[in-house]
Amino acid sequence: MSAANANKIAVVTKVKGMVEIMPTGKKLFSKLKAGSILADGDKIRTGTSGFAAIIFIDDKSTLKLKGNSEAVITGQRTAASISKKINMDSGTIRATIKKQNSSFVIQTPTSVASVKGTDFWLLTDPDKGDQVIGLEGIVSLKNIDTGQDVDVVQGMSGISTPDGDVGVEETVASSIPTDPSESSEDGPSQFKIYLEGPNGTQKVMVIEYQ
Amino acid sequence: MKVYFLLIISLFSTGLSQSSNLYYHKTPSDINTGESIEISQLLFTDLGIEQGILYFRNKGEMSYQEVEMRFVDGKWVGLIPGERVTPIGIEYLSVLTQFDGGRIALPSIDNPFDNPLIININVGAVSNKTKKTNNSIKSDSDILILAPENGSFQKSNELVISVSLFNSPEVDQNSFQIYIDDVDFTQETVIFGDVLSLVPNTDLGIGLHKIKILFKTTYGIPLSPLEWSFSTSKGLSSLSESFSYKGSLVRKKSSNTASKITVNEDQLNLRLEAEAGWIKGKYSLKTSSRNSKYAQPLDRRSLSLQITDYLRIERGDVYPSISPLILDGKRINGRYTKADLNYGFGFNGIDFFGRTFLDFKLKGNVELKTVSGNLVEGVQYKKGVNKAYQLLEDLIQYDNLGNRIYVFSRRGYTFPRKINAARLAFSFNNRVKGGFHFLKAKDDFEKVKTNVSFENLFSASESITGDSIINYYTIPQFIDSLVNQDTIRVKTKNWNNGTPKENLAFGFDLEGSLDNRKLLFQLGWNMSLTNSNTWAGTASKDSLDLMMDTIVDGKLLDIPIGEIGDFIESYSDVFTVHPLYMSPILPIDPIAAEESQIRAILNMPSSAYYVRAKASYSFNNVLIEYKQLGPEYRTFGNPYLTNNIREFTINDRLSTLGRRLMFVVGYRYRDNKLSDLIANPVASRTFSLNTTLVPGPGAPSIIVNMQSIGRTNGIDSLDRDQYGNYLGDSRENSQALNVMGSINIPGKFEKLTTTTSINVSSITYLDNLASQREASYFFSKSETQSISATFSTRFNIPLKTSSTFNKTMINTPYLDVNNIVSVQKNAWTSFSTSSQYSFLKNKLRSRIGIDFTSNGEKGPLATKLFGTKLGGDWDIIDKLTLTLNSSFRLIDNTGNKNDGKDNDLDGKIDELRENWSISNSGINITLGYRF
Repeated sequence: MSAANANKIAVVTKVKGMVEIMPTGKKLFSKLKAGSILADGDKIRTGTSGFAAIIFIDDKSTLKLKGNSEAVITGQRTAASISKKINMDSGTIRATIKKQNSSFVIQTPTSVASVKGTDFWLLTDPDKGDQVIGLEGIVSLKNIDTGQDVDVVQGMSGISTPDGDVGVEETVASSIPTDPSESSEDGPSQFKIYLEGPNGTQKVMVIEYQ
Repeated sequence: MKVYFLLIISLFSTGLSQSSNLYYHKTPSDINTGESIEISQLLFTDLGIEQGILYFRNKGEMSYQEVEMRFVDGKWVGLIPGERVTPIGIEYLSVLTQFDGGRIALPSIDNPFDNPLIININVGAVSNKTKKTNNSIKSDSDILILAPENGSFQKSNELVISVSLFNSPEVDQNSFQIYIDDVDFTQETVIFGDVLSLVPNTDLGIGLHKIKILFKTTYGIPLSPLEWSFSTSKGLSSLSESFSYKGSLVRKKSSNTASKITVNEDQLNLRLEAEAGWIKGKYSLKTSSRNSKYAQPLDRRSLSLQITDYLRIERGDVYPSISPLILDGKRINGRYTKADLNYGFGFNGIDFFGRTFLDFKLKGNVELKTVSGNLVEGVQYKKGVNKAYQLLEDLIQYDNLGNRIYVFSRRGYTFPRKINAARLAFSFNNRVKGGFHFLKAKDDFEKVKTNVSFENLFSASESITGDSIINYYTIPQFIDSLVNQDTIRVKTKNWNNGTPKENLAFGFDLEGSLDNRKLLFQLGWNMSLTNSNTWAGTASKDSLDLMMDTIVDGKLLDIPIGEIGDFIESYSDVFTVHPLYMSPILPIDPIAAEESQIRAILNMPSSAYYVRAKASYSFNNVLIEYKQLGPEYRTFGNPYLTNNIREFTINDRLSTLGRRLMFVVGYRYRDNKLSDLIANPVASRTFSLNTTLVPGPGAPSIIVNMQSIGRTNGIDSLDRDQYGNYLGDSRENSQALNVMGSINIPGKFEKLTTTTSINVSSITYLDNLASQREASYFFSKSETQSISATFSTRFNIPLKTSSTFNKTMINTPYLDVNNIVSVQKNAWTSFSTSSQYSFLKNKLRSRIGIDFTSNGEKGPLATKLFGTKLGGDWDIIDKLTLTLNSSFRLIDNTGNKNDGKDNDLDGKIDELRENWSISNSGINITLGYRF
């Protein structure tokens, strides 16, 4: 495998709205298209209503970046797997991670979240700190300044602040971000019935559902 | 001379060439994974063949799959589909059924199902057979489908197709083809950094779409296609837009003659597939003019509905699989439903002093399969003499006035065999799987009428008619011939052409996995009850006491007979209990139980079970298995199971050098000592080593397979009479050595590419007791050596050619007229060549071929066959194709020239060209339309 090929680690499977990429070694952002193949060190940035879904090529672990997010996707390839590390400056990310033979880490300015097979949201803000919402499995959330860590499980949310505090609390359902890809992939959401009255006028009954 | 010719043909033995006095067959060789295999039999029999069935399975499997054989170009041909052709290898056999009910088996032995022929598959051609687990598909060569998920819904303008080759270093990333709905999208696709990525430029439209990707290995061998599907939808308002359909309509007329018997057939094949969003339907119809009410149907009809991934309903001719030991792919005319439901639930637990207790999460699926219908179709009677009625000449009765009552039995019937089967299976967290299943099959004897056609003839000998010859009558004619007040009576049951039977089989299986399914443990257990004559009905209470033990005391093993009788009567709908006809009478052998209850349970005569461990580590695939099928275990859903065996198997498939060098090492021990009562168990020990070297693209590939089979029959002394005189030697202690080598050489030149394949094989036997044998002992094993070579070319112009040479030498020991052991040596040689050339931008494709076969003898013993075939395809308009195939084969029996016989039955003896005759000829015309 050539050197250029050797650092490919993921593929972009969905893009909505404004999503940009700064390829590793470059200094400018360009528009990111679905189907693009990501290399170690590529930086992804989403606009206010932007969304991107990324799948790692070794085990189908998935990252979903919501609006106003910025992350550097890094991964070290070995023969059997890819050690993944996401440097997340700000924004909201959902990680659905397959059981890892190697490490998977999301690092923010405030914390380090390390996982081995789980599904969670991570919301990071350089000023306010991080929130990890556990959907499945266990996430270890560690504050960089103090070294304190907590385990975040399903139904719980972990908090890590720039002040060095960490803690867990029960997840408030309304705080869980919506996943744009789920609402669009689950198929039809609108049902139309065409009606014709005795006088020949046509009407349409539209039933919307989730 | 013809007889002699057939005798020579019969000298073919097991191995690459197989033959009996009725046919010639050559086992296919040099088969790659994923390639369909054509099995053909060239017949020499004058008997008409009504039907041919090809049975095949993967090596070591318990169940055979069935494929109907067709008569094409003077041969009976069956096709093993490519998706079943894996590196494990194929075992196969065929059964041709004659019009008179006789059967011709390949191999021509008493128990072909226990000793099928074997095709070794080139393991260098890496299998890419797709496995489906829930909604994810992963190939055997670890190609990972990233997007879209199998069965998912996508918006057509957001579609991304992506496949990861990260875990598949053996895949050649410079050679691939990708199709969506059979449209080539390869040019729009990129592979970069182990990732295939495609964003179609064109709108695929609404509906279900299929993706097919063709890869090759780095050494140029094609992988089986990677296929999966997804749907694009814009909402239910577009349901009508999402409707799509496709199919084909094919009409085929054929006329084939072999050994002066002509078979004409008119076939119609219709295949229709339609889908609309979440529902998909398939209908297929196959009719044949050879379909007859006097035989099992040849026509096939099936309708299937697939509703999302959760429910599948099939009706018509269905091929359900419940369990290998119960029902596995056998045709049933009826209904098959399969429901597959995923589930997931959990409990967050109870917090207690900061710790969580009782938390859990379960995911998995529940699967329910049900089957009902007819396993065998009912046939009232057959054509021919004594095929509807038979006069029971030894059973003439008399009435009170002394008048004779002639008793008739029914014949030529087949009871419709009803079947009901079901399986409930479950899985937990993909680590534990299991299921329970049952099958009930019962012959419905009431559906076969006592009084059927009075047109059929039956025979009556001179003891009845008083004439010197056998007379043939219909029933009305016979009644007219009766004198006085003689009458006839047709028995209403207990006919002598087969009894109605019943079978109940049930069991369970379990699977546990560890380490991400790299380590699997599997267990299955089943039991059967079989009644061989349900005409007798359920045993009455009174008869039970008499039948089950010798003391008429109203008890059976201290249990009042009345209680047992009530019990079996209450379950008569489940199974017809009758000690005289059921097997087993008792599930546990009481004699064995006295010695060891555990052993008695393990060796229950009507049980079948297996214990299996599989491990996949470091390029090794290890299988360790023990299985045992008791002598009375039977399931009508899988009648070809070999029972009365216990078998231990261990083998390892090892791949090295990036899958360029592969070894399959195996050992199998099998015997029939399931009970201490077996005094002389038949045992075999098989060691096998298969080696495949595929160095790289353009380099020759080499395959060497060796198999050593030791066989003993448990007899360790000579046969002697009461005075100690030598009677014979029944001892068997033999060693068979099968060696097969193959080299495949690809060639690429400026204007053509070539493939050269050379195969050699040898089967030899060693009598380990040779030094102890009497001089008169006859060791009857035939030895065979064979060599074949095939040379294929493909030119830059639309021309393809293929030539094959084969020579088989057979040494067959026999006893001469003086009972002296001699060896008959034969050397058969065959050569064939064929070519295909395309015209009009491939719209017209022509084929021509010739073949020659000789028995290698000279003079009056010489036999030669000369064959030719001609055919072609013409795409008349888009999707409408006309196909023509014809064949003609002459036979030259030199000895017929001057043997003093009228061999061609033209009234002339030894006339000019009497040595020539037509072996077979045929013509097939097919018109097919795809839509």
